[in-house]
Amino acid sequence: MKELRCVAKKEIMDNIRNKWIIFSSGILVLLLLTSLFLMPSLKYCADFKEAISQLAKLVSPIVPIIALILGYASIAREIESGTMEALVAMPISRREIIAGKFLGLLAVLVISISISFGVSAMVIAFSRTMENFSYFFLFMLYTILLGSSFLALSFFFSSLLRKRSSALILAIFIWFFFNLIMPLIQTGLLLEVGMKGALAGKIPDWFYALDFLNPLSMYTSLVDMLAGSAKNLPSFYTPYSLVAVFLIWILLFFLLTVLKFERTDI
Amino acid sequence: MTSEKSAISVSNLTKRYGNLLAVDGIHFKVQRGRIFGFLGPNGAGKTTTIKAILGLIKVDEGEIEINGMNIKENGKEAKRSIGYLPERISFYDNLTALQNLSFYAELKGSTNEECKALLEEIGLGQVMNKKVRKFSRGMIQRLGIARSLLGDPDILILDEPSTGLDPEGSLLVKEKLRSLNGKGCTIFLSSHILAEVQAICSDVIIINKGKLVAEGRIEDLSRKLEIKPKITISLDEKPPENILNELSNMQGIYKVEGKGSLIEVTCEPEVKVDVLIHLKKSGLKIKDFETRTPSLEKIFMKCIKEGS
Repeated sequence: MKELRCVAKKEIMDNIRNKWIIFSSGILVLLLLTSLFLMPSLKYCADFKEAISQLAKLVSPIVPIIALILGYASIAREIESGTMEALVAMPISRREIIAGKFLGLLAVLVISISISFGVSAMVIAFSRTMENFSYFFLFMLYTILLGSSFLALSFFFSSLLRKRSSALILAIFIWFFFNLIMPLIQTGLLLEVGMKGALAGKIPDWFYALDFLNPLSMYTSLVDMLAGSAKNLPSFYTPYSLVAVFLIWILLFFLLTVLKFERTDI
Repeated sequence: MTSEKSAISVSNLTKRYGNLLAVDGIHFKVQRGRIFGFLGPNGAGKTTTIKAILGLIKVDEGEIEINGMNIKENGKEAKRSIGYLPERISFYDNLTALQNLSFYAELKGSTNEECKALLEEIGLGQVMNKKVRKFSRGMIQRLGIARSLLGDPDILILDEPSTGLDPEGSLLVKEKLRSLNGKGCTIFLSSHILAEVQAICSDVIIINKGKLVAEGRIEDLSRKLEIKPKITISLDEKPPENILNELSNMQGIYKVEGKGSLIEVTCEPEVKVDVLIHLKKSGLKIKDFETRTPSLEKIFMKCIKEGS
């Protein structure tokens, strides 16, 4: 346990001052504030419940970037630079190294999102009146889930590679895949297979089930459910099932990383 | 295999990388309190063996014990007694020298005070709060040495410790190694600088193409390989022929050559003094003499040649 805490602490110290994390967190604050103060649809909106769906569309591309920056090279970079060799030679198990690193990175992600949302919330609280502030808090928790799933994913892919440059290319691909390619595939399948039902106003259940394979779709659905704008959903598609699948995503990729790293020659 | 007295015991170690057999069933033991030189040409399997000892790679076959503890079953405990200086030393660039060392110290159960003392001792006391990214190669090497000494290890494994060090740093390493060995620390040193190995080590292990080709004390190996010491004696006059013949007939002497007032004698190490006494008793005046012990380079080359 002491070893795990020690690695997590080092990971926080090493990443908290990462200029790219600070930069993307700044962009997140800027996006939240400029949209709430300048976007016509949000400028006069007095209820967070109405605002969060639109805010989620702005936040959803940025948060995965923060998570990917944190995770993409976390293992590959250490193997490439040689610091992993020194670490594995210390009296610490490989599981403790991976768990410590993941917890440390998760802490940096949570701190980064909490500060971005916290700063935005404070500016809003002092400058205008908005109802349902608790929705903004839940919105932040869902955003942390989104970021954590991308962190787990990039952490796993980082364990497969030995070079930072390859890890960066893979991280860019992951972002494009979940932001653009997967929604296109999902829509294409709907048009090809489920067109009749869609035209009759009934989207097939399998289309919702496919959402479980994309954290961004799950996030959008969760926020829409929170805002009350999601209707005619299948019975298995609830906030609880979505949160559960998010947690399974995080745990699954974390465990895969542990399994891979235990077998990696350093 | 009994490993009670061995600091490191390697048995039938085999490691393949795809079709390449990097280490081919090697066995050796490193006795406690000794300084072992681990030698071999590039690609011989030295780093693979070291990495296997430290549990950095998964081996295909074989067993490794550290102080009697199996590295596979009890790796964490076994590694507590090891200090390791890798060939390629690196640290976390965003952290200071002290933060870096404190991180490893916490894992080893050492204190922050020990870190500061070590940094002072290796000459980095003034820059301990500087970020490592601003360090020169020599400074990083010194920091690596400090890391390997954390927690007073029983066994020190060094892979090319003098790479990148200035002469002062190199001397510091040698002195440190001798002083640690004096306190009972076992040292396992891989180096391509044979003179350095000869100056520090009592024993050597030589591998080539993944196979063990020689193991033992340097004197024993030179005797086994029939590489004899040579004494060159300078006299104030040309020695008479009968004296040279008498020397040639002495036990333990292999070759005697007279070159003017110089005599070159190839002999067993034990009879070097007898040669000088005999010349003195014969009434010859010895101006000077020089003893050349068999160089590790010669032993190494012969082992590699015979091994392959």
